[in-house]
Amino acid sequence: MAHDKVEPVAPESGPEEILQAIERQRDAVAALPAQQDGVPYLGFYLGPEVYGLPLHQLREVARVARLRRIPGAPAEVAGLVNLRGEIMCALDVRAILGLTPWTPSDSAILVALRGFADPVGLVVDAIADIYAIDPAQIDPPPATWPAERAACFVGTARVPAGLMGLLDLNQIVKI
Amino acid sequence: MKAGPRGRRAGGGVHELDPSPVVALLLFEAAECLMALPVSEVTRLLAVPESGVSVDEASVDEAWVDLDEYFTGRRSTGPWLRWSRRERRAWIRVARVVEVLPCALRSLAPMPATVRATRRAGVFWAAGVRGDDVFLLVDPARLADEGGG
Repeated sequence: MAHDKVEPVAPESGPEEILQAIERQRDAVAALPAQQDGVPYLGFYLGPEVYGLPLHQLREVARVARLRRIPGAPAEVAGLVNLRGEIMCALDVRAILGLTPWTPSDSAILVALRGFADPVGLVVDAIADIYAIDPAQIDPPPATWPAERAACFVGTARVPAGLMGLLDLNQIVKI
Repeated sequence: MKAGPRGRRAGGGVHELDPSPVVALLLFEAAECLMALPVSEVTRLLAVPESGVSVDEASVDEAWVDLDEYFTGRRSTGPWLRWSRRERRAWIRVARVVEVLPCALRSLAPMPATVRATRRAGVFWAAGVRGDDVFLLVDPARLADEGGG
């Protein structure tokens, strides 16, 4: 998953930049049917690598001002956030994938998920872009990946930002 | 983790929200986190050593749990709270008492199952909001079983 030339929204970006990025996502989604057939995916960065989730599995992307760690919780749980009065469990997808765990900071970018009994989201480093992925172009995870890592993916797809790992939320979210 | 409307007045066509029971919570900091206990279960606050009261004067049969030490391994220098629920009692040391916060019960959310299942974080049974922040409700009964005497 080599880092390419697409400029992500850096973690230190201001709220305006985040909102603009989300607006670009919406525009991109609106434009997708006219461009090509494909399933829209939100691409996001964890370090230099780009990962993707289908938009229909997402509720929103938000910058959260405060993420409260839970003392003694598993490393996979980054903490709890107050998202407009709703308490949401934020998962550290870095830790789940065996990457360097997320470093606590004053704010975080949260990708809120839909389809789970309890409110849950993923902490990510930065938003990359929206990509239309043709299901026929999804390849299986590389055979060189360890089995426990490969189990977290439904496949990979080539996008301008590099090789995007398509996460399997049923494997990622176990709360 | 958000409760919905609580019902409506019988005989009327207008939907109304039942008033949710409100509980007074004592908010405190420990282990670099915001935590809470029901005020009704806190029977004493012992500020050592400012109060001049020796901890030896309190019951030695009760569990004594320093929350900072329990979660981080570093001892706190903050006050001790005496918790009591029916016949259960324990002393809990916190870093700092913050305030008393009235809190609607239905605004509390249960902790995620994966957190409840862990030994140490399992002492938290629910979470609530204070401004844009989140606090954790501690169950001292589990805490005493885990780390106390």
